[in-house]
Amino acid sequence: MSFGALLARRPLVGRDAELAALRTLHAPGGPLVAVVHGVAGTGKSALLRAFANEHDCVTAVDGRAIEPTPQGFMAAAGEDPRLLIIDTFERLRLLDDWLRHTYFPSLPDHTRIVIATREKPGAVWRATFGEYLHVIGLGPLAPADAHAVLEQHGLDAQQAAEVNCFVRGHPLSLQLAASARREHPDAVIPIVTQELAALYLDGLDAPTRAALDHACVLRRVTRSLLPDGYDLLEALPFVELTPEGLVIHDAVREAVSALLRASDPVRHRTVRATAWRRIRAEMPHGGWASVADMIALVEEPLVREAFFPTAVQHYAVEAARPSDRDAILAIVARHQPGAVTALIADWWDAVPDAFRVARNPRGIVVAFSVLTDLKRVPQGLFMRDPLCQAWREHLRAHPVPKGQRVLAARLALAHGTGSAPSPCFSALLRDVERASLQTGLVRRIYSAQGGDATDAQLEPLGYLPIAGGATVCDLGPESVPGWLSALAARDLPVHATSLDADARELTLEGRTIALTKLECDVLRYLRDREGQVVPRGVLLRDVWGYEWDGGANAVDVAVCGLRRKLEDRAKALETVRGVGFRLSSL
Amino acid sequence: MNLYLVSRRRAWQSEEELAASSDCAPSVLATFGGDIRWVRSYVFVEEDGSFSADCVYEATSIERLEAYADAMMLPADEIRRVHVSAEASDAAREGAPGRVPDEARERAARVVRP
Repeated sequence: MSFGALLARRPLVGRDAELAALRTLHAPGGPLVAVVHGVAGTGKSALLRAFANEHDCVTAVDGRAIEPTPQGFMAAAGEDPRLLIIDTFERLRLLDDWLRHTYFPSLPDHTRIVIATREKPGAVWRATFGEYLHVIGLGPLAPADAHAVLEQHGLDAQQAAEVNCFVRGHPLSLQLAASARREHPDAVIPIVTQELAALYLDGLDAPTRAALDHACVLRRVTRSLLPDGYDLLEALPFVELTPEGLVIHDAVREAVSALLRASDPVRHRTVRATAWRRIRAEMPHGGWASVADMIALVEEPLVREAFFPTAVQHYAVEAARPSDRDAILAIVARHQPGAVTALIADWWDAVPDAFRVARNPRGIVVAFSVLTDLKRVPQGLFMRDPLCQAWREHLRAHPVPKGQRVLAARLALAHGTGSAPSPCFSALLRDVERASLQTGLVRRIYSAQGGDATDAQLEPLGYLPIAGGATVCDLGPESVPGWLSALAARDLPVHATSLDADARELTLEGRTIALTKLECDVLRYLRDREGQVVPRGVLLRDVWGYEWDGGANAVDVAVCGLRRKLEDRAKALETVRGVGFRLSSL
Repeated sequence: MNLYLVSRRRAWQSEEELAASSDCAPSVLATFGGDIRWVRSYVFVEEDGSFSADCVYEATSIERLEAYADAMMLPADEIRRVHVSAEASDAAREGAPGRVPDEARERAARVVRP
């Protein structure tokens, strides 16, 4: 039986006051939005389920199970929900701005919203909703209620008291303790209380325990990502079935992963490498879900924290409003007075929607960033801004294939620290990373050098300094999926595909393949246009040159040689009959 | 470096704002190149629910403390240089009259010149 099913069947104990608080949503003049917050495993989902059970018409959205985009949310929630319940809201941080400013205000006045999240909503939420927001903190269960839960699961009063001395009313731990007690009826309770996790986890049979280790580095478990373990995990009491696959309760997943990393780091890396290979294989057709799976494997804090934040977020990052202009320009004037301030004023006039701001809990702008598609920068501004000239020089020397996008991250500054690292500046950088990853087919991001400390922070992500005080991050021919895969693979025993044009060597799954100059040129040309059909004539013109008169057969000879060397990956280089060739991910 | 007491009246409207401020302080202090060291703050709740604080810093000058307040977007209603500070000794903290030996009582207040 799944955790969700267990919880649904279990009577809700000790949450009468919280349920009563939720019911005020229906009182005349009551709140429109209720936010239930508490640490992992504290019973937020159970409370929401109990409240939902009191209603006939409920729209439930699980933050773990939907694509965190406005389209993904709309598909799950619709335009006219009566009671909208959003669980695991912390996974929808990307949508915070859109939900507060666009979606929620668009709902009819009879809609009520209940949100469960780990963090207490900040002042920005209070400023947005005022008296229409009701915040409900969920702490541990009172001792009498915790004892009642344990006694429902067969523990006597004394055993319940001993167990609760250890778990201190934490609902998930109570559930685990009760499950451990059921699985090991002869266990001595003091041992249960002292080694609750060990008793439960070590009590699992070896294949299930191994499957759990593999699952705990994954964001979600599908049959394709964990073919040998899916069925074994499905029955565990802390595993829930969602539309995206099995999801292990965060508290357990984090604990098991940390235990494996500390006790057997080599196996932890091996498990992550296995996950990497399986996610990588799914990426070409996996869409956002596969990208999110790969992000969960990335250990680089700036990327990981952008999507799966672990710390309390004090700063709300959102699109700048027209009234933010003066505050933004005051920040620029403080750190880069004169010409740069005037230029940023021009950027504001030209592309105001490129500006994002970080607000402190009072709503005051404390930092901002400018990120847009390079094509949207008007020609006049492009010519005036020296940084744009530096980008243009680089772009001329290293052109981007047609169809791939180039982003311009012009400037990010915080009031107190400029471009030096700080919590609000990091919140902005994470926002820039998020926005870049969400933008389709991004090939390159141009930015400005931001001082040693910031450059050091961005260097692991692939940002390199170029002439004119600029920086560039080239995501490679595979765009975001390829870049993320390389980041995730950095400390893993996996070999990413790489082509060294100077040495004419292709590295594939750890195998080095020597190429002729022509094979190397053809492969590089096709990789730059990965997934696109390249007409035979275009390939001939651009690789062999206009003066070539040796016949079109030369292309077939080179492609044939490449396929032979690619061996079992030869299918990646396909012939599109009557047109040309297409290379898919190697 | 001298010791200063900075009074910030009704500087924060909420606990989140206070937490955000504390979170950001080390990064902002790092940009002052060692000119300011934050020693301690005493936070008070005002009747209207806002928060005030008296903050103790070691700093090279009042001007640097004013610049720091500006960087943190915090008020600095009063900045006073500390002349001397007096600290209670362990004996003075614990001792009721008669329980503290004379010698300890003499050391009860230790004057520290910053």
